[in-house]
Amino acid sequence: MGMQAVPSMSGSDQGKGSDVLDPQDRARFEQLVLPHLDAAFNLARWLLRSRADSEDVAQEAMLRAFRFFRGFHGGDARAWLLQIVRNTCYTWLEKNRPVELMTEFDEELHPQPSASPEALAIEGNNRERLTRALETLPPRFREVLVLRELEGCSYKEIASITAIPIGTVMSALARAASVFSAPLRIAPAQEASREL
Amino acid sequence: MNCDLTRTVLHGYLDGELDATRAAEFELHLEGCRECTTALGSEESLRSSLERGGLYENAPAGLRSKVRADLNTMTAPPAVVRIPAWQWLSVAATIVVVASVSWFRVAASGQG
Repeated sequence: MGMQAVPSMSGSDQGKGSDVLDPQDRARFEQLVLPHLDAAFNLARWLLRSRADSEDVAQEAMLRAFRFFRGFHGGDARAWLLQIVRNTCYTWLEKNRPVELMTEFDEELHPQPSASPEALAIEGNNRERLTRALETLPPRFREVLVLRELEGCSYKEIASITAIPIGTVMSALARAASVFSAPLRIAPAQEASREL
Repeated sequence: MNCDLTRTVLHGYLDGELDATRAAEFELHLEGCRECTTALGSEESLRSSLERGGLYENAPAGLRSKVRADLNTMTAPPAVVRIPAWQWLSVAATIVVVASVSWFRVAASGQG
């Protein structure tokens, strides 16, 4: 599926890639990978929840991608890059905000909300409310939603980027969406009182 | 939420990730399942609000040039082949030797 030779970002892999690439590699990198810089930044921004940190981490991820570019033998360049971005983000989070990663990808933590779908009052939602709802999701939920809804990735791409089995992507998305929309659902009575 | 399909198939249907057979089966199911019908409407409204929310954040303008600067330091300069004058002389001398040897051979074979 074209997801070969993606380095693990354990921190001990610094020396494995070659540090200097020839101009042909550079030209190929600019053509295939650099156009996905926005995708790289956007994923980092939602995983780290900070623009400033994301700029640094996305820059580092691009550097890593370039260093390991010889291991990329064609295929989906965006998914290949996003896999590296994701790994770089998790390495950064482990080091700088380890507590955030302690939330498990566990349905019991986030039971399906029982609010009726009719009460979904997101028509008038502004960007801040959506941002807050997305940022309060555990990272594992957040990343599948961002990849699917903002980045428009296929399930196959999401599976390879996040290293979850493709059969699990659909249910992961369903759970993520239901947890995400829970705070956006307003009981009709509550909404009416807000409008007064 | 009691219908299993709401959790397992609905998203795949909405994302166009089901094969034709499963999609048709789910459409048939939708006709009779109120839960899935409302869930589908809810999902669609969630999706459109995400689309309209403008949550996608493009890279800051400066990031691209920072990355390019990084790439510059990691790209080998194009190899400039510089041949010293004495090497040109030796190349020229070699050509003269080869040419004259082959000329002599041709001349010799012409005589014999």
